[in-house]
Amino acid sequence: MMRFACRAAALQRPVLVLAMVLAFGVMKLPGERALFVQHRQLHFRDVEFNLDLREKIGQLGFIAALSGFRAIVADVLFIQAHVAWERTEWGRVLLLFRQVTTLQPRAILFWDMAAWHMAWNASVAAMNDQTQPRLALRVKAQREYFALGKDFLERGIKNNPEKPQLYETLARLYKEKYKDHASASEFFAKAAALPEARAYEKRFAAYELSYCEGREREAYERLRRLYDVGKNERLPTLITRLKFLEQKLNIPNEQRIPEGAH
Amino acid sequence: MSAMFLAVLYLREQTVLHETLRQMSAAPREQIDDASRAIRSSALNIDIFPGIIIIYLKACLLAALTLFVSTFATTNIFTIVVMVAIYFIGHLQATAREYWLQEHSTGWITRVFLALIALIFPDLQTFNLVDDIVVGAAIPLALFAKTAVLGIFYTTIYTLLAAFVFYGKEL
Repeated sequence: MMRFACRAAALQRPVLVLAMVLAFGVMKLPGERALFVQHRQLHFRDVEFNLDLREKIGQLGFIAALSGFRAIVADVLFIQAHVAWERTEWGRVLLLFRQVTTLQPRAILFWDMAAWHMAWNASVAAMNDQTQPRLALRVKAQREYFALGKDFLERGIKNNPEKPQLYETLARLYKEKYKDHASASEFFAKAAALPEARAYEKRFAAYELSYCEGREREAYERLRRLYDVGKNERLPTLITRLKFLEQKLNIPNEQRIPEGAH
Repeated sequence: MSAMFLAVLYLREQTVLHETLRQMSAAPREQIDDASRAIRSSALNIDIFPGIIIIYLKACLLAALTLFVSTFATTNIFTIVVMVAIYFIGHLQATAREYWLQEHSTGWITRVFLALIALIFPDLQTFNLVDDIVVGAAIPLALFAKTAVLGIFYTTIYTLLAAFVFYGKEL
């Protein structure tokens, strides 16, 4: 009886400690949840630690990311991607940039560089590939790299909808690679509508619209509005495009901008 | 160490700024301002300080937890192994907690397991604000304050628990 009482007394403290830990756990739960929700609202914890991520970044990378070194792992992989680019190992560049952007979806630089390597560098390399004699296959490979670049930018925008840089890069991709001026104008306009946008985005949206068949009137109105803003907007390209549209739309002489305007 | 880190960061920022201004001397004022702003936002800015404080609080929390584990551990190696496991579990605690609190049709064993993970372990992902600070995200003061209070709360509780267990030991 005495031994049982001693054992019960000895067990009392660990049980009490466990109960205290659990009680503390219940107390901290609302605070933790509130912080989690706030982090999600601020896009802070956008990386989901799941099997998909494990497959993308490999075992060591996953362990490092789990231990709170996500940013450092992403930086190391970014350096590796740069080395792979120097060696023109395009497949590896793609793989590494997928990992980097998965780990740091809020870093604009990573999305931008990934898209640039795919749509601008790898696509040109594919087109100039001496080992592929068939032009059709080279063009196909080039198109695939364009699409990869576009995919990076679209996912980047999805993760960073409030930043204008990726909208601008996507607009340039449509303009320079797809020759799709309507989409380029749309994305320049989206970039211009954001608070951190650069002053030229609005102009660029109007320039691109001026190349779209059937939308000349809209483009003319936009360019004219910019022209009327003042001297700072009266840049050579704006005046050239405006004069071109004035002629195309047969704008009456009295409504046209003066010859030699600047 | 923090002072040394800040000094290095400041020197690097000034070097990059000078280099950029030299290279862009012929560029329009707007572009120079944009480039300078981009460099300043990626280098030494006010958000670094909350990041450093939160890292310090995370270290305090882990130290308090280690102290608590060491009060019932019989060897150093046991304490180290347990703490490494807790460190990893702590970074996954939020995943377990959210899965537990959301309505999922899982068995009761899974739910009890997840509940224990959520209740016993601290959420260490909360203290990884630095991952977002390095990409230029601004940390709201309210978020910093709440995280700091949670860190202090964890540290105090684990220290008190360690003291409670330690007093019960026969020395």
